[in-house]
Amino acid sequence: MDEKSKIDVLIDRYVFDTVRRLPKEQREDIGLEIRDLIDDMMNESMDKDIEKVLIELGEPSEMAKKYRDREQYLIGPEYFDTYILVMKIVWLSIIIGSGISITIQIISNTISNHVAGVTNSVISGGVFPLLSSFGLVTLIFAFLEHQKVKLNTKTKEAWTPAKLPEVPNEKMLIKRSDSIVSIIFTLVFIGLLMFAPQLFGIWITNDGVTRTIPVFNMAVWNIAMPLFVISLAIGLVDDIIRLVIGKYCTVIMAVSIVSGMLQIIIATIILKGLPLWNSNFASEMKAVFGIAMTSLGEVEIIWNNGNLSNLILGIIIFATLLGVGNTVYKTLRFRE
Amino acid sequence: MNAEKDLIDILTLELRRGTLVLSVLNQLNNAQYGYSLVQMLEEKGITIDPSTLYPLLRRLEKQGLLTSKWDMGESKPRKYYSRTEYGDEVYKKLKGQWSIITKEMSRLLEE
Repeated sequence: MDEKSKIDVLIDRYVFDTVRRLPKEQREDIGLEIRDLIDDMMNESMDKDIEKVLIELGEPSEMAKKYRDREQYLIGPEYFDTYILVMKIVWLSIIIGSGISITIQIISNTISNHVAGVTNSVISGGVFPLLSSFGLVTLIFAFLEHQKVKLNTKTKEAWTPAKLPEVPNEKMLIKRSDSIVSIIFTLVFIGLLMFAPQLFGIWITNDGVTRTIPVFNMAVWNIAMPLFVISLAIGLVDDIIRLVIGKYCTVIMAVSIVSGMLQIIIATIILKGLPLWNSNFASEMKAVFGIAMTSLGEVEIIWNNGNLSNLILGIIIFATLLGVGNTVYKTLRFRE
Repeated sequence: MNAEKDLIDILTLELRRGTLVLSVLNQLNNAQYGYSLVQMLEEKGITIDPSTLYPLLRRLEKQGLLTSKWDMGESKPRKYYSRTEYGDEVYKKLKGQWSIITKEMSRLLEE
């Protein structure tokens, strides 16, 4: 009596562990089938060893797998590549964004008690968003996978070679790394300009007290800063479009020309239309360093009579035209 | 050389896997239940895992090639499978395909 129930217990467990992995409607039928099978195999075997029989049948998870109609994927092969790509983009953005934010906070000393404060910021501002975005993106793609499985029976248009995109000529390609680096620098710059403009200047530490002599005239900053940011943002849009499209074409050329013109206009406004520079800069420098008046006197002249602005504006116009010209050249030269 | 034997085993298994459906359909002229099918195929030299055969039978039934019936008699209930008319048709056509394939392969392998 005891031996028999031991066998029954094992069989019950095996069947249960197998069918629980299968759809509800099929459980009873498959359960009966498996019991039948075990029974037959036991009758066949010499030593009536139930464990040997169950081992021959294989692990319940494997057994259930064979009974399943289709593979079970959270995110299947069809969607996986896109999933990884989206995740990379999202994570990169978060890492850059929170990196900037934390760096700025450290620099401008809004985080007290460095180690603990920084750790806290990294966790709440960095790690948490990374984890929750991972969950969200995964959820979305898992949903897509599930839906696609439902839509499997719908026919879609047959693929034809006409649908193949052109192979881009190597020279036509815009290097992604260039665009990405440019985007990162632009974002960092915007961040600093917006939150810590006083950083742009000379830093002096005197008996443990750090102060800066800012390069910019803080009084007009609330006009200058938005203009700066807008100009940088225009450049950002240009870079993003280049990243997305990836090769020189009419669109890229047009965007480049337009953004170049706008940036030159804004630069002109900022540099010539506003008293951008901190007019006290030279005198504060003198006060702090107290060195040779004459050399600094010259600096003061350059600083305050607009030559500096002209110089910088000239550089900006030159660099912008160079960049736009390069883009136009590449686009026109390699057009089919 | 163990690696070579393993590889040959795997590739042979894949070859045989292609012949499974035809073998099973062939044996179902009359109604059979799962385990008897396993044994009959064994006798003919075709080894097949019950855990492979049973789900295969379900799949073929789902595709309309087989039909099943639970026989409650005797000592215990058994599920018997047999070919449908549709299954007969498909089986005939598959047999035709098989002779074509074997001819092609023989010709190929003789070269």
